[in-house]
Amino acid sequence: MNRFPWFGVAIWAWRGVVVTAGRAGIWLPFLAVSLVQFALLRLITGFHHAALIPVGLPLVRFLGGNGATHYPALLYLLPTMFFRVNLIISVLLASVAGGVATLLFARAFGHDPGPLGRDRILRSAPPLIGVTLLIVGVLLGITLLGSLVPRDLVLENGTVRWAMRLTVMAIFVLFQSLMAYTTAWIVLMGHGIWASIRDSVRVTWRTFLPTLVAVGLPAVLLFPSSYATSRVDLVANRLKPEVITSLVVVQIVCQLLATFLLMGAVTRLFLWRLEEKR
Amino acid sequence: MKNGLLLALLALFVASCGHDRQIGVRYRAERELWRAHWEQRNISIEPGTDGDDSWRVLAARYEAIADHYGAPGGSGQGSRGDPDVRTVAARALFAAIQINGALQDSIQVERIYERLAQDFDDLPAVAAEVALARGQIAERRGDLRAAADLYQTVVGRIPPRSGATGIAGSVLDLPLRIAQLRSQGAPGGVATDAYAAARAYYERLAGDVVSDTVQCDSRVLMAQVAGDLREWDRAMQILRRLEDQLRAATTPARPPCEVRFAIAGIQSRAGADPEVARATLTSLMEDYPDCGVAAQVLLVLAINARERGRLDEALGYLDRVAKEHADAPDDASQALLARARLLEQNHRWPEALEVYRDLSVQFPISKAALLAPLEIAMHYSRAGEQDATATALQQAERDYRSLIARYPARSLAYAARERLVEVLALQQKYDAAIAELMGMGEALKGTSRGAALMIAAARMAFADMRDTTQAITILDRTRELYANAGVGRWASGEAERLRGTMAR
Repeated sequence: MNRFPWFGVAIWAWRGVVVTAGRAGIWLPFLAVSLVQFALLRLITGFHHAALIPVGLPLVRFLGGNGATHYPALLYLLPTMFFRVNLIISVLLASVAGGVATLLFARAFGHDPGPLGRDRILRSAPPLIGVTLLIVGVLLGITLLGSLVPRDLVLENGTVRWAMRLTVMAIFVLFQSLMAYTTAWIVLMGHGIWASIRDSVRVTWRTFLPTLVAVGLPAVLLFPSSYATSRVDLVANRLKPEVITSLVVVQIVCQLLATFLLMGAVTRLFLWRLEEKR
Repeated sequence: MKNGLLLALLALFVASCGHDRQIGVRYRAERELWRAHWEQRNISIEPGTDGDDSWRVLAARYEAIADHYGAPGGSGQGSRGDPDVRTVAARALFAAIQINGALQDSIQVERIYERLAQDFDDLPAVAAEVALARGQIAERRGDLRAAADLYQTVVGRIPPRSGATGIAGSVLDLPLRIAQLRSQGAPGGVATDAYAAARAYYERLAGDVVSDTVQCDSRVLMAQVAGDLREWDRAMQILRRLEDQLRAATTPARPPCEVRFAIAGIQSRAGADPEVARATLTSLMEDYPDCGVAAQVLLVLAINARERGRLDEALGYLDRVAKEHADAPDDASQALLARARLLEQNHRWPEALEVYRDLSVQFPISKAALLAPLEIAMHYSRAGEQDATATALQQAERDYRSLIARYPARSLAYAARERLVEVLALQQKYDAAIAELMGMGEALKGTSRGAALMIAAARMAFADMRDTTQAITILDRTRELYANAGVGRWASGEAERLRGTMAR
């Protein structure tokens, strides 16, 4: 007898994702997002080249201020700047790419979502962008929770620092779990923003632990790379600042894999619940 | 009209593109400079086995950065006029100066300063820093008028900032220094105009309320101006008023105890009864027990006690510095050295010897400790104890050789090697002393210090060993090493003169 049936469900979902990983087509939306991330990273770090400066300099100033146009300040500010640019990518591009990926995963899992045309993507784009904007807003709010703890206490006490990090991450995973099915509701069932949020919470409620595990594992996988990029102070005195660029590259690759795993698992769990309902 | 507007917008766009490109060039210059700094840090942590070569290569790399990004004739065409880019280039040259300075290569240092003065005179901060440094060099050379003139160019250019690093932190002291330099050689020993200018400068900065460090420091310097002009009452009045204001302030710009210390200094300079200065210094220690200059106060109290003929009191103060300020090795080791000398002067040699030995144990890598073995040997020499002198010199030689082997850090090792030469010469081991001098001279080749060491070796060979052939060989080597410098020509002439002497 399986004492943790919900864990078995999560593993079943991931197994399905791993099987689909061999299909090149499913990777395309994720690769498109990573490609844009790499392009913007290159634009930021190479803004000083004569060919890039007309676009790169305003972008660097917008993301990091005038201070970021200096070396090595640019690289020390890179994780913050990339975080900011990634928010824009998440809202405008990754949201839509996630919709396309959900459709491709659904098809791969034997569901017929109907034709995958440009019209359908354009129709789904506004609610996808809207819901992602809301989610990103709340997630930013969650990261600001850390500022409620007195700064001196955080700086002086390692236990408090780690407790704070883990708490923020737990809230982060919980909220993401509740919002995990919004994309599927929008692209597969044609929901609007509010309906997708409401029904996503319902599905999560009924599939709570598998969803939590499906969302939590990619977050745990991403943690080392995001932690490393957030601690540039550790890099600053020991290694060349260019290492920070490499850390961001690793972060993009990890993000690609984690998002693939997350979107696939969530789509499979969603379809499973849909089948059960029928 | 429309076309004109379009043209104006286009011109604005082109101009902004040009400026933006300069930001890119500045970024690349900063990156190259940072990488050179990184290499400098690595060499400092793990020096190579190639002696000073890696440092010289690094200095050349800094100069290459300046060539590319800053020099009017350099290849960084686009960067020629941009002050930000040229400031980075100037920083690269300052880094090259720092390395050459550490290598004691004053010839290169002066050459690079000359280059900075010529190529970067339009950048006020750079020009001022160069003028300050060249002024200091001129002052060391004894060219006081040139030093004062160079300092004067700094004063007008840079607003002072007390406690700041770099030029802004140094500029406040300059008007007084200019007055002091101009006074040397002035009729009556006082350059009245220069002091009047300094006073006016400080009065302008001082104001009435002590709200920041510049105002506070200006008033201390006003007191020093008054002191130099022997206006003791005026100096005391300024300082007492300043101390009262600092004591009343919630967050004083400077610790009031430092002003009390300055008052004691003025009392001593004024030639007041040493008891008066002692009372001031003692009250300082009572009123401000946590004063940051406590170690210096105790050292001055020791000098004061010696002046009053109170030996035990002086020794007590020195003992307190060594015990209470052991975390400040410079002060503590100086106190121990002073204590040992004081004991020796007062015929308490066994105690003095103990302190000299303690000094080497407690602060082995201090400059004071370097003097201890030599002081011991010199004592026996003065006392006419030949055997003890010989033993002490042998011990000193062992101590210095051991120190050089254990602490090969550049400045201390060179200082120890210089002491070693003295000890070897006193033992009449001239061959070893000359070898040591030439070893140092070769290591510092291309520098004025290296040239001085080679000449000292030649002089020792000629005067102490009466070995003209060896003196000529050393002078010939000096000529080879400094073929393009005045000292090389001088060495060549001296070698020829000695050859002539030998021929006769």
